[in-house]
Amino acid sequence: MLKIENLTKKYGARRAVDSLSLHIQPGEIYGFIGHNGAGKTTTIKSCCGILNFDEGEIFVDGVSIKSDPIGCKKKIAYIPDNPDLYDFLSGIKYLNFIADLYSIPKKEREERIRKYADIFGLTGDLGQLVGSYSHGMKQKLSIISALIHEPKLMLLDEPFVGLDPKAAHTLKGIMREVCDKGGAIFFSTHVLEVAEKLCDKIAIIKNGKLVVSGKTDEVRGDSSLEELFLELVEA
Amino acid sequence: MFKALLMTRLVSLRESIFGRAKKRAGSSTGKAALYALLTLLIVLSLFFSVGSMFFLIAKPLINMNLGWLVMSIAALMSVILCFFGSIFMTEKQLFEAKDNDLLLSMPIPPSYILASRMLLIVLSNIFLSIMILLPAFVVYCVYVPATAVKILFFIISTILISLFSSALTSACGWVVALVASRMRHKNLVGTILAIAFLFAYLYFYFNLQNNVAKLLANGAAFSTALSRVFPPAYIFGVAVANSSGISLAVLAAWGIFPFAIIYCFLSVSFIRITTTRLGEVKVRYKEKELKASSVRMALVKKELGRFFSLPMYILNCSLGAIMALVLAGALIVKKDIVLSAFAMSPGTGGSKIALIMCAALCFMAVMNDITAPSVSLEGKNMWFLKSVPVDAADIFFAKVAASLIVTVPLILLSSLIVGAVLGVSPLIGIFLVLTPLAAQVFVSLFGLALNLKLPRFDWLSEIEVIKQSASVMIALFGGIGVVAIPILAYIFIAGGVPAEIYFVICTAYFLLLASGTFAYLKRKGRALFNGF
Repeated sequence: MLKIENLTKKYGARRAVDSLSLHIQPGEIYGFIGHNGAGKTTTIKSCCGILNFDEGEIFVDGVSIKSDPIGCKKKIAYIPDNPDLYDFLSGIKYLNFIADLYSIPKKEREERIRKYADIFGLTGDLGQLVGSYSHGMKQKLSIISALIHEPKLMLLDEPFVGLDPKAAHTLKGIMREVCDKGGAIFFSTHVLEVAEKLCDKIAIIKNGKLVVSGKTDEVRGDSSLEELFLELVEA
Repeated sequence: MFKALLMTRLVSLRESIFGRAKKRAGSSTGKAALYALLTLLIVLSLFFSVGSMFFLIAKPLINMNLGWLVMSIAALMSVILCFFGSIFMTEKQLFEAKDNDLLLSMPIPPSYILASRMLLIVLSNIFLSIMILLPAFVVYCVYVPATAVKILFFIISTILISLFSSALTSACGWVVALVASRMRHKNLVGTILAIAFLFAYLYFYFNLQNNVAKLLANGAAFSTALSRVFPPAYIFGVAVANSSGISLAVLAAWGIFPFAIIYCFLSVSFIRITTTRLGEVKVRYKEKELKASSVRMALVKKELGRFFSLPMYILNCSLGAIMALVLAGALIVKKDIVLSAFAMSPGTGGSKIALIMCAALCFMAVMNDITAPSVSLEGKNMWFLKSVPVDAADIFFAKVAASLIVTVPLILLSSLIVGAVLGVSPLIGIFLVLTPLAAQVFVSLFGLALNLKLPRFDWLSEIEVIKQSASVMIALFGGIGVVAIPILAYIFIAGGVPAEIYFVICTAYFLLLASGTFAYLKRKGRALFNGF
């Protein structure tokens, strides 16, 4: 579903991401772990076409993000680490706007907005301006907007930050549901317990370079993910 | 600590006007020279415009032994300009800056935060005041020799009157913030207030123009009235003209005391106002039928949503469309006065009047630079536009279309009214509509191209990009320059060309410029957007 091949992204002379390659298959939840500034957000932003990259290729469901960015973006949903949404729109107008951009038929959008807004307990607040939302509410709105077009690939940057325990639990369930239907999820997190329990595969990045990747159990071995991470990062 | 806060504000102000230092370092010397030349041109044209007005009144007043009144009128105008020009900036800078929460969470006394912001307002007001006071002083010195003492008194008085203006705008900004914080429809209230202030300004401006003759005829009576009704302006005039130390001391009291009082008052209520959200009454959402739109229409709606949510955006970037409507309304109500204001007698040939009115409408059209800050306003939301499956061309279309949706109906209506009131021929009537519309299309495309070239995304308050950014300034004054070219060409070269033909030439000229800008956007726009 997502094929990253020798991705290199430079900021000036610094290589934020250095020849990184990863393959994410349909049905997989893939965790992306690394220290602050390791290159996680840069990688994710490159995958969804926000950032141009210097070398390598990225394919989404076989389509190159370089040659057909619009085609790729139709299959992707991206949730940023900080939900900076349009403050001047109400929650419902924001969701309807997203549905318009993905050309979702009226009936489907109404059903999906109802379903996910109810699940996340946001229905009653949809009439308020996004600017009046708390961080957690914005994060929920961002998640709902990502689900409206039933994406094949979800790219999530720290999706659990700001969510209350119930919403975090709900999101984990939805992530599994998306993958069970043949989708794939690539997400970054600092919460290693979540990664350990939720991810089918994980990748650890350090200073822009992939240190280790593979099935969670195999990567972790006998130690905990936390121990492994500390060992790799401090090495 | 205070110095650091002030420096942050100044750097932010500098970057919003001149762009980021890193970018500047990379830019070529040629570009820097062009930018400096353009800035100089803008400042000179403003000085010329204000100076020419003072030339009309300076000599008669000095002959009447009322020379100080020249400087008093300039002071009055500068206070009014600062008031209308910075009241909403004051409100945004003081109470609605996006870093308020962050700064208040730090061990910084709120009074320091407020002081750094109020000082920035003082600097902005000094800048605005100079735009009026300096050309007035230069004109005054043409008739009354300037001495070193006079110049020194002028500099000190300018700072003091700017302090007074800052106290006034800060107090009114506080009232606006207080009213807005208690309203549910905060944006609507802000928009109505913004338009009310605009109309008040236009009323004052037109009255000033119309009353110059009355002012000259009743100079002595006016000076007495001014000293009673608005003492700071009166004292400013006396302090500068007579180099009077006592007047300067009184002016210092007028400048420093109100400013200090307002500062003390606001520092007490600063936290309360910045954190009050009384208007946000929670209303439970009831499910409604949703309306589906095309991608382009959805983007247009989003642009319009942003435009109407920011009173300052409306006030600053659609000023021309509102003025065009005021002009048309004034023409219906007081045709003779309006025509005389444009130096035309009611009996002058229709086609020539139409040309002059068309020039005025074109000037008003190019003042509608809604697209000029539209890319910068995406700010931290830029990730969104870049992650959704939307072509950059659709985004550009939406920005230009939203600008035209707001402005075209007003310009069109104004043009039709002007044509009908003047009773022009159908052919001229058509061009009276087409020419300003072509100018409007051009400036919408031009503003977008400029903002793609000169964006700024790291603003803390929208005001930084709406009022102070390079793209907005260049779009506004560049647009005025573009309109001035055919006017000057007509005055100096093509005066003999029949009006009908000149209308065709002007329309073609604007359409050609619009086509060129469109071609540039098509060729370079996507790459510039993808580079963000």
